[in-house]
Amino acid sequence: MTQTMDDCPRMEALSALLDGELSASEDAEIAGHAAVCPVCGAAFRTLGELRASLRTLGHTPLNVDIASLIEHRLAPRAHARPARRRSRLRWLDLAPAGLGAVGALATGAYLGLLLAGGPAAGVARPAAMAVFDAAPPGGLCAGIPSCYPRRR
Amino acid sequence: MRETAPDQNAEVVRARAGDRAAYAVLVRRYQDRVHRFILRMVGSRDEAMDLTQEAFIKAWQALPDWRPEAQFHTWLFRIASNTAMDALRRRRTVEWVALEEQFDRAADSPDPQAQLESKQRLKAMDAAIAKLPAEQREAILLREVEDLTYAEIAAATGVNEGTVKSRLARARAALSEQFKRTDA
Repeated sequence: MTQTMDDCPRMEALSALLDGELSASEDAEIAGHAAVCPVCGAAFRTLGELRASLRTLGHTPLNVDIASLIEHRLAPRAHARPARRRSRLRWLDLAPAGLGAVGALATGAYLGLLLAGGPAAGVARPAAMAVFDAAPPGGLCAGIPSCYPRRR
Repeated sequence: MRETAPDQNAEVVRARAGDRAAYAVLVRRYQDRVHRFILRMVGSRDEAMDLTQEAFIKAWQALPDWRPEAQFHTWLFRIASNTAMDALRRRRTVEWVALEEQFDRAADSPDPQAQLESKQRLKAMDAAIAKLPAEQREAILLREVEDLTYAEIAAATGVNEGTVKSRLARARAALSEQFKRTDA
């Protein structure tokens, strides 16, 4: 059978053949074709010669110790902590902050209800809260004269 | 040289845990390979030296993300490749120097004429590699110089194997043309 250009595999197939990256059946097919096709055979030989040339590319080994050069630039690695089991003790760590948050919320809510004259208004309140009254204890205003209502 | 997984993993695991001595062993083992790859990617010896150090520093920082199922050298070349590509992107033009003139190799042949021809061929090959698009250059260097498989090149460059196959074919086609011209 006369080989035609239409039968020729693409460069990609010849390249993969060179690398041994074809399936067994593809390898047999492409290799078989390259063996009898003058164009593909020549191309495949060129790839082989190219490989030989590339592998003779020289390289002068580094005469410096990269490890020593970069040693001071390596950030210390944080030691991985072993995974902690969930523990009830963890909740005790949060207790002080939790109590403080609850106290702040309660105080704020109480003051808010007082201002609004809500149900809390009828609840016995600490004596110290009297300083917030419109008429402080003793009818005296601790502040500036404008505190006193003007008599008409 | 292919390392066995248990050999490389033990040192990498220690380095990942913060053992600097273990990491120094890894650096010394791979520094020549990483440097020669980066050198041929960027074409400048001074820049390659800086980038090689940068790659190993990045590798140290990224070690906590390394998983034992990954080949260490493939993972390391991924970092080296990204480092080189980033440097190339920062450039406006590729600056290439005749690398082969810096090599001090023992002559393959005592014949001066043969030596000259060999030197000219290497110089032409270096020039041709430097002219390849960066992605093709990367693929051909990892395949032909570093001997990585298609799967390893795919992992190192972040593309699929089909793309690796295509890039290698195009790189070889371009280099083959240069090869023929040099021989002519």
